[in-house]
Amino acid sequence: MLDGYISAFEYIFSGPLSILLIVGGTIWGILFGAVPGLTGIVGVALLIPFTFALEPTQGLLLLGSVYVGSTYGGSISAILFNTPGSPEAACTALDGHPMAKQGQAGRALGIALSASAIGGIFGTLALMLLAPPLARVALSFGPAEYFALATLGITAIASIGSGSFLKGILSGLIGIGIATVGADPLTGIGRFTFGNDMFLTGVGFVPAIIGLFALSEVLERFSERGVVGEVIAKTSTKLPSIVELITLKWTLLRSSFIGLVIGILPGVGATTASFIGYSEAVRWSKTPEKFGKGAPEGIAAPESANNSAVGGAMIPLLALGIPGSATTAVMLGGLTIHGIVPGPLLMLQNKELVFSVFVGMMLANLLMIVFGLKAATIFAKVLDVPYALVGSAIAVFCITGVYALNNNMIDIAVMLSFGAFGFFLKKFDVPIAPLIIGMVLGPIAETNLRRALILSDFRLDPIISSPLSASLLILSVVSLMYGFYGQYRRFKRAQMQMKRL
Amino acid sequence: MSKRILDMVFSAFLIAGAIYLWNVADSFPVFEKFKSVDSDYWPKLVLVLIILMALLLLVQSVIEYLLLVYTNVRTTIESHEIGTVSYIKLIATGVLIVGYVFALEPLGFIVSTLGFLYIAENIPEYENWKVKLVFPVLFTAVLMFFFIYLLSLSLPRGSGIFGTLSLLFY
Repeated sequence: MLDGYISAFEYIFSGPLSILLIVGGTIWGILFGAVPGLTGIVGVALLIPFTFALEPTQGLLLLGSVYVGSTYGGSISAILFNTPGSPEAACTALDGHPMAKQGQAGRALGIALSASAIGGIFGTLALMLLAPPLARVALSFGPAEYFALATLGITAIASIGSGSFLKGILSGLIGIGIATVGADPLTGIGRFTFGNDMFLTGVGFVPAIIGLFALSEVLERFSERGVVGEVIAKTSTKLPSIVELITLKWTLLRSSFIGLVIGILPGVGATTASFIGYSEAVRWSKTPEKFGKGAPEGIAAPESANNSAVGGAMIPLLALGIPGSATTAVMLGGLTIHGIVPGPLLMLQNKELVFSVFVGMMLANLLMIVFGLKAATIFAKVLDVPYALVGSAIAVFCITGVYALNNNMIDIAVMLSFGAFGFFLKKFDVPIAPLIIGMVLGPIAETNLRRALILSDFRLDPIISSPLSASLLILSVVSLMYGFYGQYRRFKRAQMQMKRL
Repeated sequence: MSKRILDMVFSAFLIAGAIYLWNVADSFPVFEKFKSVDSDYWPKLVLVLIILMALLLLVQSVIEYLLLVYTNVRTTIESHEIGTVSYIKLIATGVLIVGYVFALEPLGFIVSTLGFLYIAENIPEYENWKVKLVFPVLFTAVLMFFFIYLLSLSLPRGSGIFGTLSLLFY
């Protein structure tokens, strides 16, 4: 392991490019996380075509840094504008903006920055420690285990969230369905190609995600008026003192651990981690009545949880080849265009890439503190840039980025179609993240289920009898039941409301 | 438009689509070697689940809608985002984006991008004409530098006079 880290340091510090990519990626990530509507997923997706011109390791350093920066960036607009820049910062606004309105915006930003850094470093350390042994364990995984893991990922993302569970499941299933277009992985025949050979390779993943996230957002914002939150400008970040950090130590530790565990679960990511981190902080607090009114724990908990989830989500991606979140699902596209297949063999055959990602993400977390101190002042000005310019620029970026990938108009057509599709999904209140997870995990689930059934002579009991796959399938059933129960409670609550009115 | 009605439309569309695709899956070639886990196995499993979930959503939406009608409730719960969409702006944006894509090859990157940006920045409400004049030129120049000189990725040059113009720059 030590020689892995030594060669990683040699690679990163051998020239200025890798460092520049980490620095640039972190800044890009903070920017995309801070500006409402842009989000880290869009920031990662837009850069994927450009990583084609880089070496695979450099590409992953860039994308990983964007992921780290963007998860913190959302807290800036959440605190200053009461408008979370990205979904994972939604809980930060609950206490961050009230604290800012009390004249303590600098303190709120400082707590968010420190908590993000602490959570991020915790998650990255866990990534460094857990990914290699998990990859070794994963070498013994068979088709049954991979099928169960993929199923857990699909059910988890639909059931743990604030929106409609049924729509989340439907979104995941639609994603799985889209992934069946193309050549059957076992028989090789074309499925749902409608006689068109260009669909034999399936739906392009990178154009699809750029369309779903970035282009659909442009369509949405251009066609309706945005909501402008109350603005608190002209402030600078004030890091908390050691004493204040010590008073927050249990909140930080608990939330970082929650973020790590949630991040490791396939399909679930920083947003869920921040919600659960916040709710647990309320439950464990001796003064829960102070939450929602500017409690420091209310900022520290979601920020440390969501940044810890970043490292957590990279663990299954690198060790198992299964994305731990929607953003890592998008990063998978960045690896695919270089012909890199993440998973247990990657850890054995491409140690330099894996350990470079570890070191790169640690550096990105440290650089985040440096840039974060100045970020609030600078990005408050960036947030003044009207969406008429930002949206137009993003549209050009999307189209030229996808065009530059393969010089292929089919990719552009896919992007445009998915852009329109994503727009309508948002209008129907259907979440998009499960769709992406479905597109990624669907083929994994299908291939491994069919293989497992063929190996067991088409019987289901060997799949269920494996202890690991049985445990994962039970967790999937539990998360489904939890989701259905939540849906039923929402339905009953809506009924009671209507009857009272 | 009522959120519940939109949910009903969405569910109905999914059910109809799933039934159609089931029929398409029925026409996949059969391989004796793979017996019951043939090419149509997984798509049909997914389509059945879609139909089931869509039916549940449809039933839930119908019940909620009927309750609303029965209690004669007019609340802000029912106001839906689709009511705040400007269809003119939506169609204009869509047409502009498609137009930009088709213009890339014949007109080249520089002309088509400048044209797109100058038109697109007028779709949302923004009045500063100085910024609107300068931004497209600056952004196109930065993007051209980024793609061509930094990343060595090719961009369309266009044909005829537009191709000649592009050659001046790259």
